[in-house]
Amino acid sequence: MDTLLHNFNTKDQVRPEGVIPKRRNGLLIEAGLEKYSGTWGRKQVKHLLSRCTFGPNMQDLSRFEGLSFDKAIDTILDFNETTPLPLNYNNQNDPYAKIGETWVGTPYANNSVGQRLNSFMARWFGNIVGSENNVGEKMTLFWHNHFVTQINTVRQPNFSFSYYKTLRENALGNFKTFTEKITIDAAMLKYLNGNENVVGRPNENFAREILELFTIGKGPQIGPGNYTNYTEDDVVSAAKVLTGWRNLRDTSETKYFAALHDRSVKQFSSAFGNQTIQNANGEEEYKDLIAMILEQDETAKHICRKIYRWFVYYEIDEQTENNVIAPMADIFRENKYEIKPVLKALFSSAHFFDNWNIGCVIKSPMDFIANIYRNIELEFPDDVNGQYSAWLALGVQYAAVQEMILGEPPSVAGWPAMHQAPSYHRFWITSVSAPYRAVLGDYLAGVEEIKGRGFTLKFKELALAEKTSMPSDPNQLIKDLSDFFLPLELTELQLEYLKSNLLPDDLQDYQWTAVWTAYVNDPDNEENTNIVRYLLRNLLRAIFNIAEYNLS
Amino acid sequence: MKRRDFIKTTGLTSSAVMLGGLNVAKGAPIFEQFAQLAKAEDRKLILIFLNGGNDGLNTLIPIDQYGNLVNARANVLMPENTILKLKDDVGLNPAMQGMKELYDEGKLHILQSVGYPQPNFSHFRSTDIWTSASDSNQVVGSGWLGREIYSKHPTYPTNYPNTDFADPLSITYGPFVSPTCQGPSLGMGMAITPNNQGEIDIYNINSGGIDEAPNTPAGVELDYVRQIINQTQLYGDTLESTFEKGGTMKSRKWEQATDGNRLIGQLQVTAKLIAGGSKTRVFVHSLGGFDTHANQVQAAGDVEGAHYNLLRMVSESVSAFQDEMKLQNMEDKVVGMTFSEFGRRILSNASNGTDHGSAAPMFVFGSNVIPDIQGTNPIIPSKVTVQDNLPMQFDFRSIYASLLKDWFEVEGDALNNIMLGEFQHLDIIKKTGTSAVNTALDSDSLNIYPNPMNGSGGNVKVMTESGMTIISLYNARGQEVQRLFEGNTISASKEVRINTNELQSGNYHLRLQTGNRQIVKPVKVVK
Repeated sequence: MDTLLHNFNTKDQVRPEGVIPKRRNGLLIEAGLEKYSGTWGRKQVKHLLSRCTFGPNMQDLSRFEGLSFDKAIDTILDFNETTPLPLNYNNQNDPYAKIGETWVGTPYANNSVGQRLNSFMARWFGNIVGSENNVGEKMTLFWHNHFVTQINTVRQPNFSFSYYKTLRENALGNFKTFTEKITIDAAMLKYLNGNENVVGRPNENFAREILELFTIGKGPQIGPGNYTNYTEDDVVSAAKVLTGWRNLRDTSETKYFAALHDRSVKQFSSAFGNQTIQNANGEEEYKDLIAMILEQDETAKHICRKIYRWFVYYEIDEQTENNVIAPMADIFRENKYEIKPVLKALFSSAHFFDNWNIGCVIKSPMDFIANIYRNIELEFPDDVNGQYSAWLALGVQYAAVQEMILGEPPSVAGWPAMHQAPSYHRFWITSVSAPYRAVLGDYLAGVEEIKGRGFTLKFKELALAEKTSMPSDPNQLIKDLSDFFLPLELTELQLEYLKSNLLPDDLQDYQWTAVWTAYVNDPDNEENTNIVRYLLRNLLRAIFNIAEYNLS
Repeated sequence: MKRRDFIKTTGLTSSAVMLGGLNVAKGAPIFEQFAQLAKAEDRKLILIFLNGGNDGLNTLIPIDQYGNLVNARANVLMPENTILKLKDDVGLNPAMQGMKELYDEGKLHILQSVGYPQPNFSHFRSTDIWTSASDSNQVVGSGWLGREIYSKHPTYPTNYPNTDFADPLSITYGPFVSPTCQGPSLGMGMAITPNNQGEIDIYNINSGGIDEAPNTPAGVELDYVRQIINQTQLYGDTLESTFEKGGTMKSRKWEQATDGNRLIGQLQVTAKLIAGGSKTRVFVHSLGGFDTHANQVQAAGDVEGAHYNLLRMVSESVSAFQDEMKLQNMEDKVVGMTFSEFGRRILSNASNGTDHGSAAPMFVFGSNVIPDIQGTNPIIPSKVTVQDNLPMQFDFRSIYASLLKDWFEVEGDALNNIMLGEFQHLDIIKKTGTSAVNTALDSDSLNIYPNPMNGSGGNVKVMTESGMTIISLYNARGQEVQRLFEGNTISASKEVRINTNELQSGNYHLRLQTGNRQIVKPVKVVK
């Protein structure tokens, strides 16, 4: 063995910080941000909806196929819903909100923090699973992963809801005003200790993260304490600019206290053209800081790379940097940091629809879970208690066991799958998450009723099969369902495997046709219908568990 | 057989008995031929990641600097009379009673001021540097232990698990395989999260329909997903049965731990797997919350608070784990190590917290470590400004390389290959044959004159030892600003010049590393 020493010190493995790695398989994707002009068919519709929404149902695919390409993209970008208020769904002890009413805007209730947070997370999942076919919920989650706060650190449900509302209502808005709002957001002030950042001995927590993560991003370390795009001294100066802001106890309003603000001249490094900041109106000073950071080209590029990794793929090679990221950043700057034009350019691009980019994203837990419910059109209850309980049990908690908690990314940098090289999306599928994905698929396909405290749901497998083009033909049924659920076309061998699930024990094609036809003719024949349902669920269980279902 | 019995029956003198249970005086020879090392392939390395940047100055407290610490960080500093003294001039945070006991039993080796020459204060970048063991200006896609495991298992995952290696090659507690165990292209091991009862219970995945994947990025990812599903299925059973075999834990310290200890469950699973005969060699545990920008004490001058609680979790967990290993007669098979992406600033902030800083102590524990505190107390200036930081005494990669060499028996080119270079060897692990506990160099082996020096510079005269020598100047922020010499030396005296033209007035540190010893001394520039 010793003679076959593997050399770890190669250019592929060890590179200077800042050098852009090649794609793993050496692939070059020629297509850039220019507008896509190829076929607009089912495959492209499926790709667009899989990436930009939490998963289509069968009707959605047909509807989008009927739209023109431009109309489809416009529909995807059309999001301006108000944010529904989370309700108290089962907490009899909340002193300020009765069951069925919202707790938002009522005073902090020490005995109800946990329940309010559950209600908040459940409502968030409800918004995701019930969303229309637009990019709103995906972008809201994107911004949560970007401007991170953690509900369990904030421990103020009103703050967290207000933060979420800001994320959602600015998701497709203007990045500059969005950043300004987040900087003095109550949850953020509490989360990154902005509320304890005072003149004299500043707390640098938020100042560092706004530079390193939220705006311009960290570049290679080119000197002591110099990260190319900013320096350690800039962190200290930015912290001084941000002194003086506090949140209040019972409202999500925040307030500036002049006496706590550092009035000195704040000097910034050559990364910012040696600018200084000192605003006679200290309350406005943070806006000067944000404006200064957003003047730098690198800020737009940093945000565009994150958008790219969220919607397209995690590998960004030099070609993608030049042909996609740079022109996206130009659009961002030219449009004064409006978010929509950037998304529009990306989703309409030849690069986005390039064959190489189809099916290569590993679904996040939230994607996997919301996809499965939306794909099978699972109907959640209408009553408040049932609805929230089901959202919580089937949504929030299934994602949580796969290490993705709405409101609680693991760190201020968000989920590692979105930023941690070289694995990125691969962190979503692990020996921890994979068994839980299998549990969900097996459970949905296996139980007569999906039951929890306060709710009973039904997976209507027959209705799903009825929407395919020719359910009486087992081969067509399998083809249609696998095409619908999976991003990649299956091989003959794989289709055979699925068929062995629909038709176990050497059952023949004609036997399926016979029981299906009998079912269509007499759905009330319980014995026959149960056979059809049993076989169909076998097939669906296999589809939910095939590796391809983890891809988007 | 317990070491004490062994020593008694061989009739050794009292000076040797000391090493069985007591701390060995600084510089005293150790009779290391009696160290009971397990076979290299049976040895296990236990990692504990203190996620967020541990406040080193509040963990291992330099008591001789207490006055200056009061000036710099009175609001977060532990009251002097609560410090658990290890030596006259240095002690542990009062939360670390268990670690103190380990030290007294001769099972703790502490390294002072561990870091790297160009500290990066980003959690994420610095974590990458620590887990990959890269230079701070390099990006390395694999982890240091991932490379070690890969070099022993280059064909993984094909035909794994197998009869020789039925257990995961490494285990990480958490959502994914630690970057430390990342190989050149794959994670070299498995991630697990014990269930609410602290048990390993992995659902049996029934997934099929595998055919050749398309030659596209989607195909590449598909292969990856399939491999994870497959490995989870294959290793799941072994893990569960090894865990069962581990039986009931024997140490009472598990139950004695404070409620809400977020680390101890992970170590208990590891203890149970080891007791059950697991052949896994690397276990990675982690505890988050060390990013104590605020309220690391609950109120200024208090002992208790967020940082105290975290250190207590670490101390209780290590102590229970070590006790269990002893009761299972497995103590000679395990060595553990804590690490954190950085330390924290000397100066505290107004919110009873500390911001990101540089070097911090590291703990290596087990019956096979040389009981000692390696290095000297950091020197705290009387007047500390916001950016001031500690200069490193040890490069963290020296500790990794020394553990790989002396614990995992990786030698020569193979070691340099895994470590991506050559690093100072430090005596941390007891081993047969060799002599002394490594200590800091004597003060007179490094002379700086004049000190303070002005704009016309100065001279550094050192006594080098045989081996690699590095002489560097660090600024008050803990950043290396000049590397005055780097190369192989013999035992001789050597003189190098400091050029102060480009330097601003202020406090600096001169660090000399030669052979396996080092020293850091303050130097002032006044222009």
